[in-house]
Amino acid sequence: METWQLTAFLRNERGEDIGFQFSVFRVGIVSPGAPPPSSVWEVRDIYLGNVTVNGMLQGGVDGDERISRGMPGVAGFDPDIHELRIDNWSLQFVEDTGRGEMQLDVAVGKVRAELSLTPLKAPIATDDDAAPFRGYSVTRLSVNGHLNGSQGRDVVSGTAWFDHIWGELPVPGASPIVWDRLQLHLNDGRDLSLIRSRRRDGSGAATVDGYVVDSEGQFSSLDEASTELVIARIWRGARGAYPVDWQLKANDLNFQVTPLIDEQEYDFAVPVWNGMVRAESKPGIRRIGGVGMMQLTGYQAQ
Amino acid sequence: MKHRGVLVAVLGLAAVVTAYIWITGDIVAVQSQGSDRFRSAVGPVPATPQRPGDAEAGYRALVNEPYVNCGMPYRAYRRFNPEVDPVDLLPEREARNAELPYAFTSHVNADGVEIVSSNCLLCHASRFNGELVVGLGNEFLDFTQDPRRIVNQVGSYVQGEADSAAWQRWADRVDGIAPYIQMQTVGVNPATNLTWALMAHRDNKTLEWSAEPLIEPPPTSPLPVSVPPWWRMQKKNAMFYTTIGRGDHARFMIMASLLCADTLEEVEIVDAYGPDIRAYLESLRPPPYPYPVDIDLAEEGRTVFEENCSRCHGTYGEDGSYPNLVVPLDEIETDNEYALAATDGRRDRFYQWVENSYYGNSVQIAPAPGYIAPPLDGVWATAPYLHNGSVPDIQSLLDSSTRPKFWRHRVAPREYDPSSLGWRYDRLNHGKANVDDPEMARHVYDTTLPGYGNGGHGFGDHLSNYERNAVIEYLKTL
Repeated sequence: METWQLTAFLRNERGEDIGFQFSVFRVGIVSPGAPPPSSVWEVRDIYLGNVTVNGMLQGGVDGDERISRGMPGVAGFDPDIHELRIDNWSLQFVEDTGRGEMQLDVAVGKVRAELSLTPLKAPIATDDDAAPFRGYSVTRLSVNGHLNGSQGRDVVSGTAWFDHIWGELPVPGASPIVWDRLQLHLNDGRDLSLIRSRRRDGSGAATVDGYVVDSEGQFSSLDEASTELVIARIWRGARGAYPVDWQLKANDLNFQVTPLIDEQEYDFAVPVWNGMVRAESKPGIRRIGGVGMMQLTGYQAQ
Repeated sequence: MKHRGVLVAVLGLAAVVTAYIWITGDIVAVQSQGSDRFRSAVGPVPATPQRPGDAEAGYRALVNEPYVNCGMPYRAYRRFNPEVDPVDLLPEREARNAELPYAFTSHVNADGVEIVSSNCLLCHASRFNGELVVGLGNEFLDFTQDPRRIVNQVGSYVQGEADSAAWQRWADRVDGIAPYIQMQTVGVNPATNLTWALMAHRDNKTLEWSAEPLIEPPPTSPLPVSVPPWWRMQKKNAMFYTTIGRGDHARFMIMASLLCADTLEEVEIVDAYGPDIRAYLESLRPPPYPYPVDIDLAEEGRTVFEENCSRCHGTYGEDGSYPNLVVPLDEIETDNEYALAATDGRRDRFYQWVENSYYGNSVQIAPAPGYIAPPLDGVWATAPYLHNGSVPDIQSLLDSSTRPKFWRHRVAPREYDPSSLGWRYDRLNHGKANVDDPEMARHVYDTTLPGYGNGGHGFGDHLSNYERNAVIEYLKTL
């Protein structure tokens, strides 16, 4: 399996916040050692893409999902033109400048996004020997571009987070494990990534895998000993009940994480609550805030 | 009915006596009297008859049978561990086991789910200069992390109802034992505390698992033990450092199945081939020392050894003899916490658990307040030393003034030092509390921690350096 995920935290000229996420999953259906395909019609990979947009743009959320066979020009990563494509969605990696820039072009419902992305920090490797996957993350990129929606063509800007991982990857929400995933861009320049894993039956202990990258690119890891996560509120959707509001302590950080809007549940292949959140430190403490994306899987009714 | 009346009367009397003793503050005397059957004297350990077994069948059982019968569903295991290093494969393994690393065994459960579980070799096999040695204790395993982490990681790869149920059974057991098996230092082993924790969670008559402990569980800070090599079993009349394991050794060995076995029937199946496994362990011999030996110096060392060490450790060669001697704490003077905890009443509830269980039919659980002087066959391979693995090599074992207070094995790569007979290590200036990086701190052996002390066994201190080197040379030949 291989995944590419781009999460952007945008603001338009009217000051409205928009969360945007573009994900593509490649599932190989033959072993890597298989002989080359005899024709372009021979299926080697299935691609699954999804895009979610939320925020004030539509007064709610929008999401779409695409499934395609891997085939040049239809779905897949084309190394000649450095482009990841699924149907009419594309993510172009700009090779000429050597700065790791990207161009995203996707359309979801009435929304079309054309975004230019420039890395602000060096990529970091997901380098855990115990894990059966490899990859890298660019935890902060600057974003500029346009969103076309019901109110016309908006100029947007903000920051984004990009992950590219390959190997044996778990399918979130399909196992007896609940995953609470959070990516935050803090306004002091730090980026925080965190996955909390718990048993769906509520027994056992929660474990945390995460890290903080500071404004200089310095990396420090987080685990359950250095992190305290208290659920402050549950939101009930059509497919499950999700802990959308957190009190989060991680090392010296201590803040409330709340969704921009509650209704960010998606009925994808596995039900997911996937949405933009805001982090705000408690009054009296050094004011640190930020924006981010929370992804909650494994909460569907049993 | 008449007898019953007498019994009630006697129990009533006992209650009165107990109350009297409580009141007079003489409870300690009563406890020790009541627990005498759970104690052995220091000194020689008598031999007990063992059930006969077939060593070859024992090896096959050891590496193929699912005596630990809960674990990861194979499908999740394979996704979590997609690659197998060929050097981790063992001969004479059957079916799926032939393609699994040596420390894992596969079987299909009653729901048709293939399960991969840890086997005895997880702790009882280790590499020496690249060669896997079955029976050599693994002194580099990491028990410092919460095992529930791996349970959740594997769990995220589990799919489907039957696989989820199988995973959950394993996850529940790990949840039960996790608080009791986390060590301070990478390398030392929590096996003893693990066994007590399993007993606390199981009905001793039915072996049924209880999520809540049924008796007071052991402390959450396990005392460290170094994993002894299996080849010592050939000479030893009792198992474990305090000689707690007396009677039927095979039945002690099959306590490994307590992690998962929920019924007596499951244990009886394992017990049927337990004597074969015991026979296999007793057939093991240490590997030959892989570096050059100065034969003349070794011969001089033999004389020094026989004058200074043989009274407890025995003699070697064709006419060798081994005394099976437990050395009292005030003589050995090594860290006493492990032997005290075993003999001062703190663990008696677990001994009672055993006594009244299936295991109690043939084992006697009777530690002595001391440590057995082990046979020294292949001792050069078994660093670090003492029951708690607190002394990194033989050189410093024989010269207590040179023992490091704080130290850390070099592990990337691990390298053997033939001059001191131990794995190379770094001497540190600080204990665990003063090491900021938690990843670094996990590798620090801090001999100031309770149970981790490196004192005692000063029997080589009076030797000259030349004599010590001669003894080291001699030990290479064992």
